[in-house]
Amino acid sequence: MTALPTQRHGGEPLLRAENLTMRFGGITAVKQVGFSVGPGEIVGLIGPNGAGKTTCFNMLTGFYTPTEGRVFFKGADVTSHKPHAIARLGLIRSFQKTNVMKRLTVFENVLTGHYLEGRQSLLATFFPGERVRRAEREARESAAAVVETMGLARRMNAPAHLLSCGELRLLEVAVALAAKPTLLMLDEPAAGLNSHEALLFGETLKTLIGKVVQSLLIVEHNMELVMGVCDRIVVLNFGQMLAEGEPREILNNPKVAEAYLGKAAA
Amino acid sequence: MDLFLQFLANGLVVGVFYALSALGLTLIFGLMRVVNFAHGEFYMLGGVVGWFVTTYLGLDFFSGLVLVALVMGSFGWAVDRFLIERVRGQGEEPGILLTIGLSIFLVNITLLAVGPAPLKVARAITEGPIFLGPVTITKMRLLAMVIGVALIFAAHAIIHRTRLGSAMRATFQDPMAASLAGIRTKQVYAATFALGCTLSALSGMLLASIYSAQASVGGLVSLKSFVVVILGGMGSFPGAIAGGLLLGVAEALWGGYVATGMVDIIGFLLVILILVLRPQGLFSIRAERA
Amino acid sequence: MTLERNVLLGLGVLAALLPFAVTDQYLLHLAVMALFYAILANSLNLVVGYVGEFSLGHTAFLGTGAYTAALLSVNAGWPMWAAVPAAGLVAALFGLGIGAITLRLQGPYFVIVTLSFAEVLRIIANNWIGVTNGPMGLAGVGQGGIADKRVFFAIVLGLAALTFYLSYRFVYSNAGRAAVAVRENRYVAQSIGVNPFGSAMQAFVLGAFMAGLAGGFYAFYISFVGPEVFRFSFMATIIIMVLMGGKGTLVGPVVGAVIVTLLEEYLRELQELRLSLFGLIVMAIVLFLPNGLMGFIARRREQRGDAPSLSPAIEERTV
Repeated sequence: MTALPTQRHGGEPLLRAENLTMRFGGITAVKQVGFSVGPGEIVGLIGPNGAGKTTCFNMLTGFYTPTEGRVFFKGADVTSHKPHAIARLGLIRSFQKTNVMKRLTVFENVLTGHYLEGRQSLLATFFPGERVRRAEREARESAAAVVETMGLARRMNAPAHLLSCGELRLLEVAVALAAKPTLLMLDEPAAGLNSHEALLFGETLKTLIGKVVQSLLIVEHNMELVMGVCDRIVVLNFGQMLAEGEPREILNNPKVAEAYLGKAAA
Repeated sequence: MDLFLQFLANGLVVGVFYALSALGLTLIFGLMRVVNFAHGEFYMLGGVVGWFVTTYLGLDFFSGLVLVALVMGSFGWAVDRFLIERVRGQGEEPGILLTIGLSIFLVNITLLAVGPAPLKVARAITEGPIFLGPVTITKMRLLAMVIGVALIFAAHAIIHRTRLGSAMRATFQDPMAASLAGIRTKQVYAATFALGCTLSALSGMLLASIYSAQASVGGLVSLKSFVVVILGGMGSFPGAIAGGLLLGVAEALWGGYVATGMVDIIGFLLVILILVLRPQGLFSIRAERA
Repeated sequence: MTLERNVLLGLGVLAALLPFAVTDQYLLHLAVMALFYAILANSLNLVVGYVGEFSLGHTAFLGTGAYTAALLSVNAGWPMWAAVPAAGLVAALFGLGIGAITLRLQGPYFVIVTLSFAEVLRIIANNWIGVTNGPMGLAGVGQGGIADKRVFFAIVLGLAALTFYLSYRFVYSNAGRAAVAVRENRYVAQSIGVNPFGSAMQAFVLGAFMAGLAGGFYAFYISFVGPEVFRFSFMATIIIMVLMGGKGTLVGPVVGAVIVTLLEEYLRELQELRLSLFGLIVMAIVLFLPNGLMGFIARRREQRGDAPSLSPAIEERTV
């Protein structure tokens, strides 16, 4: 794994969401949300259930087309681009429900994640020259390395449906990492982990920054993990921005406490 | 102009028949999400069993119809309990393959039993033409349309007005909650499948008394029914009726004015067009549940 | 991967030795048909096993290939070596067109529309008498060419080798992995940059090309092509081969093709009985062997091997 150049796009943030709004029929799921993720940053997106976090994720990655607003990635407008087109620019995401290819082994899952690096013409597929064979070898080596980085080496050849919940979470991240993201977006990566596992997971995430990915955007409910890992936190409530700031500010923000715990606690 | 009216009338009559023969398919898909490729064979069995009970048991048409409903209802029940139940909840593909296998089996076992020749089913009434201005229609066709419409209403009433119907709708919305509420969901699934099978079989016998029953007719019926159901939107009764009429009229006009040879192509062209332009079907805003 | 390659190579060598051991024309005919079906089953398997959508219209490509070869031979006097590749290319073009429409659909819609395309082509073949000679079909394809069945066997073996080589390369390439990703989990596939439509299209067109080659060969071998090539019973036979052998594997369709070809031959006189049996086989496979014979073997290996904790309950949900 090579270190990524911490190239700054002329002071531009890596990802910028402006005025994102999503309406389903009469219901406004997300309303005028705007935030950005800079190079080298780990940003958390939190909020109570139904706050619109996953909807935001889906708009940022092209799975939903926002009703209003724009998404910029590396300075380019990617609003309403197809999901795979956005992925090809280096914005890779994971999904909330355990989303791996269940019948494939851990290694095969991660190898599949290397798709973009190994793209080739059909002719090269049928009559692979030395270049293609080398790319294939490198993809296999890299896949093995990613599996090890995520601490799954022991389970390399186990089919994904036999993994434990914690291992599945690691595998999801491994598949996403295999696609060599610039910005990695994880949707509840620690769901189903106990607090000890979550802490270890958080440590693993921190080691990725600057080495494997430039930035991270995380949706997560586990506050310990979020507070421990994130540089900056964006809070959503009922589809709207409630607060934005460093973990400490967010912890001390009465509005956030109210959103999570109800008025009495505020 | 008179010719046009006659084509239109013929098309509407055939269209009602198409709608009728597609009801069982749309019911089973709409409620159970099972794409039943053996639908045409259920239809065919309705005609063949109808032929058997009216010819060998000497029943008249209407008692035959009742017996066919009983026989084919039980058959549908058994098919669900022994086959469909085993692949429930595994997505659409196993159900599709299972019913394809069932359809191949049913056609050929029927061919072995009764041979490929057309079989005459006893008629309900003596045949004769009725003249409505410039348009001619036969009595039997008119009767078939009446019974067909009655069947549509009866099926609708069962689903929306009976305890069984509410159990069905509950089960298909949330099987877990329904079984927690004390509904025996396995029975409900089987009953629904039996109802769909009965509907297919009744339309099969009804139309066999106008045309004839034939072991190999199922494939064509399945195809036309799919066309009808896709045109109207899968799972919608009103959609099936609209789809049937549309197909019937389109075929009659094409056959009358353009070319008789390729009438059957119309339906497929319509389906391809519809699925490209409006995958949810022509007449439903969202595929409404039957 | 290597196991599958070695099995295929072994089967290929065995097949290559066959004409030296067997001179009986009837047995050679069976061998030719088995290989012809193996090519077809393999091509359908690319769609069913790797795109993950169930095509009931694969005969569209077999048929266009057969008609292309027949027309080129009968009307323009093309020899076999030119007409068969042309058949494959024309079928691939049809695959591109039909795929552009059908691959936007999923589940039952895909099934029905692919079937519709095959039916449309059958009706056209039946009625466009000026070109296709209607129900009479085109006779005398490649007339007076080859008498010895061993030559046909060599040709079909060559075609089989080519198509299995292409499939093997595709399946075990980056592109093949992308297709499997789409089959297994469309969302994950998109999130790692796979264009689901484009990826499915590659497998679909490749399958169409190979079915077209098989069709072209069939036209020359039988020296007659009629609208029956689009028939559903043809389709059913190919489906059974793929399912029985095991979809999503390369060896499975070969095994299925051999078994079903022999079954067809033994029960030749008893058409209805044979098809009844096929119907039962399809149902039995869906219920008891959802991954076919190869899946069954793989599972036995897995059970004896490194995954002892696999409880039947988990397995059922995941197969």
